[in-house]
Amino acid sequence: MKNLSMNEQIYLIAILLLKDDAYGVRIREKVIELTGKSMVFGTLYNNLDYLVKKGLLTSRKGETGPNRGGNTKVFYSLTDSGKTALEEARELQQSLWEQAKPAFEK
Amino acid sequence: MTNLTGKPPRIAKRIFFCLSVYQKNHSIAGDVEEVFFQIFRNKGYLTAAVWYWYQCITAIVKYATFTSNRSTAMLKNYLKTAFRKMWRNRGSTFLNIAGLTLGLSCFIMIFLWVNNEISFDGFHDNIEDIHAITTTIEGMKTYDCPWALGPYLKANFPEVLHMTRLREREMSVKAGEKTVYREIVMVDDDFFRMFTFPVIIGDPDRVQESRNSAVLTAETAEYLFGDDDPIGKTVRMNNSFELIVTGITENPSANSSITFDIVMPLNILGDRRLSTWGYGIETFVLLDKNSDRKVFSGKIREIVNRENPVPDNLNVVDIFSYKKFHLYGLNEMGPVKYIYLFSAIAILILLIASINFMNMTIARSGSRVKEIGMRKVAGASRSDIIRQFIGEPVILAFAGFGLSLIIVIILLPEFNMISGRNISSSVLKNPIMLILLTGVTLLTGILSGSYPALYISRFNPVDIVKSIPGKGYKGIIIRRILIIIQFSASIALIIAAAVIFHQMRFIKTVDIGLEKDNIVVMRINNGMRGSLESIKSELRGLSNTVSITFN
Repeated sequence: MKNLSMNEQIYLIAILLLKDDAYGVRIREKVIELTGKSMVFGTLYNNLDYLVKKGLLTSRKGETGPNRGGNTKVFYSLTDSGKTALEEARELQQSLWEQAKPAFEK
Repeated sequence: MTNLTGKPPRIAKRIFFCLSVYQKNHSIAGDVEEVFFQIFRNKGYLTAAVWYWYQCITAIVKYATFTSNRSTAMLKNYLKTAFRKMWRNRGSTFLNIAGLTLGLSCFIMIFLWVNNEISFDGFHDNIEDIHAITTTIEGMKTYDCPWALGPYLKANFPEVLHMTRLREREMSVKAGEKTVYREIVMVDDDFFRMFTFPVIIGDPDRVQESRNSAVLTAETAEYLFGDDDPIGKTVRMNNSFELIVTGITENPSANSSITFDIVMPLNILGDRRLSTWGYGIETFVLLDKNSDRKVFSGKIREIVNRENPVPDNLNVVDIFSYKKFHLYGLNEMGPVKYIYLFSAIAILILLIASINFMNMTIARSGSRVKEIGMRKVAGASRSDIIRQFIGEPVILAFAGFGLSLIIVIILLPEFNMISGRNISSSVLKNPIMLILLTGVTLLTGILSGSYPALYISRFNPVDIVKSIPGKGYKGIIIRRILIIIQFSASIALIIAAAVIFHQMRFIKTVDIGLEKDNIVVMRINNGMRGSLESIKSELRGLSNTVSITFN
């Protein structure tokens, strides 16, 4: 499988951190918190759609909340392949830095 | 939370709703609304609303670019090649745009004129039910009516809701030290109830109540009284009688058949004149919506024949819808036939421009066959190529449209001089007008591109690459036909223009048997009429005067 991009990793980690509370508003907050960069909802949902299509995320309809104009929340969570892909990405990155370390310490 | 008064902007909300339906699974509408309320609570409504709209617009853009990546890439490629080709053939691109600009400018000018003619008098709310009363005298229709007819109709016919007689004159108006000649209409007191001339100051039902009231247009009032309040002021008419200003109206719009500077009551002429059954006045009536017009005109014919019998009943009284007043006119003197004629010319000009464009595109197509061959080999279908080659003239047509709007706005004052109309360029801001003209532009572009696109897209890639000239004989015939149409239409128009030009020059220069130069006409009002002889001798004393005559 193709390696995860940095962007994909950030989204997956954000959702992982949010556990049961991972719906649009929270995910956007979390991603902004993790990256420090502002983002619009259009981008968020494009990326979430993309990750769902790739099979890294699943979504399920939840209940509605206050101030949502009657619209239900949609919660996202990682699929098994999402978790393994993230795990692989971590290992790849660790080994990369492991190898790069001597060069930096020179 | 329920006591929040703020609501997300309605239109944006609707768009989000559509988006979230389109994207099935999501709750983007709900999410954005939730954050909207957070921002609303912390930073107020305005920030929240702006933020909401920002989210909305970016969402549309993001969705669009994300879902239609392939087609936008192809579109970019089309645009890029189109602009490159246009830039490489600057000369012919310039000619093409110039041709389309010229065609569209003519079309827009004529369109504005036609629109102005058709909308004449359309601002009256009751236009459908206003009728003028006409009399046919010796086969000629006129607006001449018996003086007493109008009041008689109003008093005796329930279907006549309002009636006004109307007489147009020019009179001198004096207020303080200022004297000026102005257009006057003398009317009955239903005038402002029938016709929609907005009264700015004064009660429209009562401005005509008294015998010596005058209603001025805003422009006249400003000229005579400056910034002073004109109501209650006196104006002296024709140096013989005085009126008191009771109301101010807007200036009659440029496309009104009835024009005036001052409205004054007709009854100043005296009851004796107003109650005769002799002819001499225009009469307008406002009829009940449900009344039968045929029956009504039969009834008035009967009355006129009874009250003012003419041998053999030669005079035929009838009614004439005010809607046709300008456009058709009496005895078919109205501009309606010119409207058909000029509309046809406008379309013809546009057609010539399109055909010209087609010919130039086909003539240049040789330089693009390789590109088409490449595209076909790379998998473009014929419809892809057709779309590309229709798109390019559409781009050019819109460039021409922009230019022609500028040209029209610049030339409109001159056009108004020639046509004797007062068309304002602000009509172009009317959204319906813009949509219509945009539609015409689009149509011109598509028409111009249609044949070249079909012609070019037919080439066989293998023939092209082997540089065998395609089986283009049929194409040549159609091109010749197009050129013949284009040239004959142009020649016809040029001949027509030349004939009109010569006719006009003839009218201007022909010797009509009297000297027109060095003659000055002066108007003389009633007050001066008594001292004609002294005026004459005064004028004779001037060294430049050769002779004087009075009429």
